[in-house]
Amino acid sequence: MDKKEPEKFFNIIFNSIADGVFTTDDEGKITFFNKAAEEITGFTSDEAIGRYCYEIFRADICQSRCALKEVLKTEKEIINLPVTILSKNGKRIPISISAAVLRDEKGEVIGGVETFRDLSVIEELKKELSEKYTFGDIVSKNHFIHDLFNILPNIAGSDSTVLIQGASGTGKELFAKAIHNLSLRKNKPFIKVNCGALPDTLLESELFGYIKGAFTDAKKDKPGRFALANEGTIFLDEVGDMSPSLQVKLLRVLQEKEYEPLGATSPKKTDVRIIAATNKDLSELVNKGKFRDDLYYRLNVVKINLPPLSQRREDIPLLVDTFIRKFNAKMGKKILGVSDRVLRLLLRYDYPGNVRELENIIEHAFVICGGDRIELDCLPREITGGQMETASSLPMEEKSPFDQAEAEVIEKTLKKYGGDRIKTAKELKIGRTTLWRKIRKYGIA
Amino acid sequence: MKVAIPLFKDRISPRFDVCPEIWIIELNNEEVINQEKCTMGGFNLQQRLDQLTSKRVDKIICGGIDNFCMDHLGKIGIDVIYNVAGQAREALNLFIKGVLQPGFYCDGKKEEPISFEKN
Repeated sequence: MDKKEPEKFFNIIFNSIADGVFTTDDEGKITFFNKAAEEITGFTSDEAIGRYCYEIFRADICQSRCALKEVLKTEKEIINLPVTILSKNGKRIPISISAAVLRDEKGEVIGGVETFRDLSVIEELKKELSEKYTFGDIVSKNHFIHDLFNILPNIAGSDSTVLIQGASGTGKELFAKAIHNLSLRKNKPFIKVNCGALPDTLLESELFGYIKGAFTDAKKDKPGRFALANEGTIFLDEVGDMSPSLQVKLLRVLQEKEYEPLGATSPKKTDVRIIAATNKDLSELVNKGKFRDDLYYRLNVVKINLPPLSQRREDIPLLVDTFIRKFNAKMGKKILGVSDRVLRLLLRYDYPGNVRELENIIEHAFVICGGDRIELDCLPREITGGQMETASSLPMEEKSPFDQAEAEVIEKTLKKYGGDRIKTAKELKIGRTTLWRKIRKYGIA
Repeated sequence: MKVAIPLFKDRISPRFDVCPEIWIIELNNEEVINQEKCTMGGFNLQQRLDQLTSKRVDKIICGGIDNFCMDHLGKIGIDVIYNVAGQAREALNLFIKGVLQPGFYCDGKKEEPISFEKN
């Protein structure tokens, strides 16, 4: 066989395959560029050969963490790394690349070889599917949530008060934002208030504001959240935790469209849409006399009940993909997905913390994961530990040692100051609101 | 006139949207009267475009640039000479001489620059 014959033979093979292939010398200059590489990048082999690969390949990683440089340095292959290249005619093309060291017959490194696959069609299909199952920031293929997607534009257009009920982490705020963004008020503010995170007096001044001189520290007028949300939407989260006296004031806003800032002598008019949310059963609270029935009926004009994640397990793979995309962008990683074992485990888990818990699990895995796929050992221990118990068989939640210590310190300090929270917060060098939240969290009486 | 060249070391960056640095040169006829290098590392696309606007750039000599950026720059009156590769200084010299065109490869060796215009 002629000495040139094997080279010709290899050229025929490489030019017949659908994947792009190019090789470089040890300086990173292109020495071979196959037919598929020409088609994907738009550069001809004549234009490419002899040029630095980054000037032809133009991937988003070329200038920061070149795959070929990395394999030449580590001598470890890179497989299926997703990147985006810029073709000769200015089109961004999603591809996956694999890179390896190129050696001569003596085993000496003579350069690198990179193969790449055009993912445009796959990405387009993925996008179509994801759009089908997406509404704003909400992702679901569950039929119940899809029914909600269908009526959400009508709800948004109505300007009625909305009550969203669902366990923690089911996405109440996302739905509230989606309603606001679809409404005529979308260009006005969306203001969120967590009614369960603030003590009564603070919550009142947060909601309605105060005027100069209303109390000792009121040096100037401060607008409340209702004033800030004027012409927009106010989202009252954990409305079931509101005290009876504040419930009366909120009722007045709903009935009269007016409120009085602290220390004011005359009412202020407001034009705000109210979306309330709770993780409690408000009708139950009404029956127990803990929530005003007239306020409940005012809030409950349109009610949305959000199911827990355990009742929409078909959404788990979709949500996992969404969070992977989100954290790849946020953390600059290139994680491709989860292993089959991880997905099986995630599909079985009960998620007492709902979608938020799933998001936290994926975030935890991102921090731990060193490869391009999330494996079992990247997941938090409480998910993988033991027999992957269902929530119903999990033991009662215990305080972590840190929480235990923190609760003890707060309790002791409160005792020292005879229950005075201002002095306690000062001593502990934390804000009054933080102290109040921690007291609630640890159930300190 | 102000000319900007996205840089990757001393060469023209292959991509405007991820270039780590940009070289801005102020010309009066054929003379360089001022020049500076601005870091672009970590900037998103909007910040890059804002940077060019704030520096009152008239023309960009760059490597790869996507169609969205091309359109946007065109709308704000910045002219783009795209798909230029090779030594940044040589590209600037060719521009000053009035011969630089899209697709030129300024490798510093060949007498005639190779051109491969967008198809």
